Amino acid sequence: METAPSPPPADDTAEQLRALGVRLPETEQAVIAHGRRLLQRWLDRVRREP
Amino acid sequence: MIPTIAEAWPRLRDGTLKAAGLVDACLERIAAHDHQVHAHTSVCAESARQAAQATDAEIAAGRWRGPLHGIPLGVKDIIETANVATTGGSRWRLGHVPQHDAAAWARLRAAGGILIGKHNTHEFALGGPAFDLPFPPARNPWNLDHFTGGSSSGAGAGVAAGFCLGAMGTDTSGSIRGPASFCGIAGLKPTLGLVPTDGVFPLSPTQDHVGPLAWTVNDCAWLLDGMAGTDTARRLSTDITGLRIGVASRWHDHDMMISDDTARALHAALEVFSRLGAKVVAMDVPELAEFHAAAMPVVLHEAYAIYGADLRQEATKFSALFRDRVLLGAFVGDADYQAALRLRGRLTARMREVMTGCDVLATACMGTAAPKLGSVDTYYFMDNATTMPPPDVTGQPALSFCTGFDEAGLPLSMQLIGAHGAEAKLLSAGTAYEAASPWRERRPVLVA
Repeated sequence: METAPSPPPADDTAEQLRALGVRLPETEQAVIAHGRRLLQRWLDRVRREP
Repeated sequence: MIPTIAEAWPRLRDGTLKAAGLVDACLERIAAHDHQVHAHTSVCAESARQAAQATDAEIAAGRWRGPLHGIPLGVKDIIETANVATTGGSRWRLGHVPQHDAAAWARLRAAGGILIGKHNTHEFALGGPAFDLPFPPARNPWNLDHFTGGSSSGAGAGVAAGFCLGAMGTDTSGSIRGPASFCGIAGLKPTLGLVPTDGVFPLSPTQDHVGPLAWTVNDCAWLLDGMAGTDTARRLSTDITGLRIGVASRWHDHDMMISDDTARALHAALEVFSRLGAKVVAMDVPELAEFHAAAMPVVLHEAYAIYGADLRQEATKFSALFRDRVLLGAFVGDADYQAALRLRGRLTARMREVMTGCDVLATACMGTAAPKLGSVDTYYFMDNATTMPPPDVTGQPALSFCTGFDEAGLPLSMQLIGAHGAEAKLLSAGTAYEAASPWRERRPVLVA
């Protein structure tokens, strides 16, 4: 069964990384935020699995 | 010219080739060219020469151990080697000298394999090709401006360059088959669990595999037997009459972009298989994206579980590529991880059904020839599904080998996937193809 794709995640990547205690420059946090958006596509897909 | 393992071992056994001479030939090539290729994180010249002398004495005394006795080999630098630094290609493990061999390397060493050096790797088998590591990235011997593939980058480059006769690599999402493809050699990812991973730095423990890379498919069989304690090489047959080769056209014609050169080489190879008497049949396979959806959360979640503490402590001690990739694992929750494992189970069951309709499954490996080294994106593996993760997800054996060259002289490749435990069929098909095609006669030319 098809499910609606998740809405784009709010870009809280920088906050999340800070909460984890990971210290990286802002430019790199933006790179990871981009990776997270790409990952979301695969997570949306795997969430269809019963 | 460096011989293949199959050429070398009968001569080592009868004494017409000495291990000392073979090791010296490899070391001379390394000394002449590895400053360009960067295949190694360390070279074990002195210990290799000592081992070679001991080997020659042992064989002369009538104690020949078998086909790997006296064969110079390289070992990926995430695989532990007693008394030889094992760095993972990372600042985190510089100076780490294990006391014990990894289980699979211990077997090869007991069979008489000689460690010529530790092979360059993407950081902990994920972060590369990177220029901010202690070791510069390996370069493709067919064109030094081009990528080797990874993460067994030094293994692909080292075997292609003739620095050793074979290598041990690891494959979690294609890390043996990718370098084998781009470097124009053969690489085998065995059935999950066939070769032990004890003593190998983990990336994704439920999906990590250890396996061989070599100039020929046949040599991969000898190495597999050494690592796994199997008896495959002697059972190979180049008579593949009646072998059912299923073609996963959906993957390379629809789900994944491949170059015209790769497609032409793949179709030409299938014609060769037909001429050899194999029965080439179309097979219906699950969508490639399903395998990717199963692999990605699992690998990232498990890698973050392993390296998360170090990332939280000092992220910048890792390469930017490694940390930017593994940190994504922090965003894969337990529910997504469990769902990916369930998807993996369903895909494995589905592929068991597929394999009842064929003996081996043929498809592309890398979709193109090797790109330029600096052109690899941080998340290239996230954008598009490729044909390499499926056998990692299902645990099936998979073999990549050279199917020709493009106009620029860069190698092209294809992949055969087998049923669980059916390495002999895969390796027989690959060996038959290599015997019927001219590609093993061409070696990269390195100019000092």
